[in-house]
Amino acid sequence: MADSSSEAGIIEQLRALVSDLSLMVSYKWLSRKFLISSNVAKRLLYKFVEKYGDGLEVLYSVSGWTQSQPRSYSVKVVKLSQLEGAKALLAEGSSVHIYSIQASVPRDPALVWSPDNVQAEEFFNQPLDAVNCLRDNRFSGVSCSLVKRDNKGTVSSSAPASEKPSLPLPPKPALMKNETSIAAKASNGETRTVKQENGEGRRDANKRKEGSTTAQGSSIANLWGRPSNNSKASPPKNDSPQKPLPGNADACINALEEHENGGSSDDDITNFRRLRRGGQKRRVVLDDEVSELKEEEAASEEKEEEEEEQVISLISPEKKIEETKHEDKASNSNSRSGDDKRMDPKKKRKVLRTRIDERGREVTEVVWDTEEPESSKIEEIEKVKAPNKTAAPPPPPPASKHPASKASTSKVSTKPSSKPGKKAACGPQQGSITSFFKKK
Amino acid sequence: MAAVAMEVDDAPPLERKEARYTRKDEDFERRVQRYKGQQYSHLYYCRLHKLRGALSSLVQSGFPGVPVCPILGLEDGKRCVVIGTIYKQMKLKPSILDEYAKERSKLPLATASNFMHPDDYLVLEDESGRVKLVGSVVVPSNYVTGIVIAACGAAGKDGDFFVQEIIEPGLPPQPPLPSITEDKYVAFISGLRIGSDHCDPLQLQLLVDHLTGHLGDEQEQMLSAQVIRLIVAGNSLDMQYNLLAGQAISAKDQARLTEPVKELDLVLTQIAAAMPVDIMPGANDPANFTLPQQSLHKCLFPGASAYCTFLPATNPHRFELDGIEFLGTSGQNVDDLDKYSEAKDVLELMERTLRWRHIAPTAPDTLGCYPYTDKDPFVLDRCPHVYFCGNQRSCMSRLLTVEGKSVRAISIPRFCDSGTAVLVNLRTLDYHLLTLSTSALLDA
Repeated sequence: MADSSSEAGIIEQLRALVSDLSLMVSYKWLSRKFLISSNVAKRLLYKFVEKYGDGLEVLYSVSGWTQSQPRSYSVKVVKLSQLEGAKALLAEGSSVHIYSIQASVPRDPALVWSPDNVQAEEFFNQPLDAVNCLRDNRFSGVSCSLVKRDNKGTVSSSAPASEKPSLPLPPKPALMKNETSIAAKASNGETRTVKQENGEGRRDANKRKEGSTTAQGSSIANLWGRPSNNSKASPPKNDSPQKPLPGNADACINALEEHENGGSSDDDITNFRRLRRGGQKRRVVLDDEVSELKEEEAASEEKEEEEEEQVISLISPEKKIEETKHEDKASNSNSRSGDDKRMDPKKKRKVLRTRIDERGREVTEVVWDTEEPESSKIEEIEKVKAPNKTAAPPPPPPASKHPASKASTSKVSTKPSSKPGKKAACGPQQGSITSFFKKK
Repeated sequence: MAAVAMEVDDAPPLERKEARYTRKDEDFERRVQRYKGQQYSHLYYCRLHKLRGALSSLVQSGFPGVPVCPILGLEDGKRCVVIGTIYKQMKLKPSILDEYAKERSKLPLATASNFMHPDDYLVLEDESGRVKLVGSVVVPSNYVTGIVIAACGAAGKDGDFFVQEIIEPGLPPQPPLPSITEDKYVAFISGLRIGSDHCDPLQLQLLVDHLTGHLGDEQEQMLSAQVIRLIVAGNSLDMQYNLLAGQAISAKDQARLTEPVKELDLVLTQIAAAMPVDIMPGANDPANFTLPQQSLHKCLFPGASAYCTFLPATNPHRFELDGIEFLGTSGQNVDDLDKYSEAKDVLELMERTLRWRHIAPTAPDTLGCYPYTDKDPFVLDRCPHVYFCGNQRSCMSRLLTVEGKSVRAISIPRFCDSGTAVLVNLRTLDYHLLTLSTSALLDA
């Protein structure tokens, strides 16, 4: 790593920040901004002050044992003029380092604290499953192996296999491991340095954790990676599975997937697509399992197909994945709400679901959350959605079998269908009356 | 993004030391206790019953041959021992009935700090009856309502019991002190009072930076690597409860109300990311009022709750680290004792609670307490090795050695006033302070 040149780069940037923008730069702010450890940040500040320190005021942190009783360790923030006095009060071996540099030192300590706090709050307010330097304390000089953070959507402090409870893949434990290393590689250099910084004890846990959470999103399926994240790490690898396989439903899915890859966004991704993509990504070669995976990759497309099929077949009992993917778009709004229910696919629950239907009306229904595909979905669709529901998929049964609709549209089971049906009936009735007048 | 770490000249981070931690708060957790309208008599009965057992053996060994009598069975002039609960009749003690007194001006005005009066006297009460204790040995200012003692003496003609000697239960049995080979420290802070005007956020940030290993050179970071746990002993928040006037709170007020909690959550996240931390509720925290206070709810700390190192604890809090027993409170028990009795300093009050084998004897009389029916959770079965008390005016500590048992008693100062934390060495049970200061900024 070219440290001297990047150090110089940082110092130059610092100069701009302090002189032009009159910022108050503390060592901690510097370390979090430029992703360097606190100790390195202190050294950089020292070098900066030596070079460009004229006209800047410097705050020092002086710490050491006092000479009074009872025995006390004192940490003080002082200005340059008070530095010698503070050092004299302490016993030998006191440590001094630069706390912050600024154009002028404010009298109020809260103002010195405030830029650091703003930065810390930014990190703090990131989504709960994002791991950042505030949350894992990576730039400190002391690491603690006891610390384990539970990121929403993943279980921390456990083996990789148990991180994916909804998708057990007993024949592929090696792939599981690759999977985490894949995602780990996706955030590349930073992860590496972080691993170095944090010492041996945390390496595995960190890697696993980071691997599982660098992919943004809130569900485990996001572990399979997102196109935007993983693409930068493995664009060449991506190309190989993209060959369309003739005469194969999987191939169609494949092709469609690749086609839609570019334009995908958070909202459009369905469970199915995510999982399928994950099946592909497993093929990517990274990290320790390079040799094994290369062989796999070099293996025939048939094997790939098989794997994907296996993936599908494993998933399908739970998700009832339909081969025709164009149905996805139809109920993408359903899928959004469906995601929350994915964690408990088999539980039958009565839930209140609020949707905005395509006419902009807010529809609240009491629905049963079950697995079964419903033929009564037809009746539900017809009642709830206005007569001119264009989004209704051509044949309702396949649509209702759709994985995305599993959660939301399968909400209506045959028995309690009368309840949501009734409630749904109020909607269109109200709607139909006004629509008679409005719609022309 | 300069995502490059200067690893070449950077030593790998130090490893923080660890110790085996066992939480022992089961007695203080309310769990499935349901209030059925019961009164406090059960609590007092359990207390008397438990401590009488301890006292009987002491009495038998100290006064062989002297019978233990129930109070109603006292005979004039006969030397015997009575065991019961003390009630201290105090003139100045505020009573709710005073609000309904017809002649209010006749009542002496009481200062809020101490309600003692020379006319106070002690009454001993057991299941059968009560008797007033007299004698030169009886110094009411040293005792409070609610302690269980044995008194050896004889009943006088006027119905008072003339006391020759008072026997207290004494320190409970103490498990042996394990020997620890390396220096490991436990840090105590209390009274952060985030949200109050005179809380200095930079001071708190310095503390967090020091403990998490950001501040200082390698030597200092070695010191912080030796700190294995942080205990926050109460009063971490200073919320503006006057906003909760019973009306609907506007959005602006709501933000003002919750801001200190968010700030505390940020502080705790930074600490929990680096080391284990226990947080106890205090008198001003958003927790229940009666003792034992239940732990602060984790929904208050969405950021910090994600860490396995974050532990909301009850008040009082009891735990064990590497075999060393810790017990402590956020200060309400000692503050209440201070109001109704007299002592040289806080440590003497703490020593008294150990001798009485009861952490909060004034509960439920003047200190809020839950009316347990089956137990009194404040009775001490085992003597701790480290006994702490938070939110005091200054840091004081003594190694109490009584009857062969040694206890490190510490009073933890309020951080917002003093900027001081206390560190206890597990190896030697010695202590030192950690002071953080930003006052230099205020000088010219």
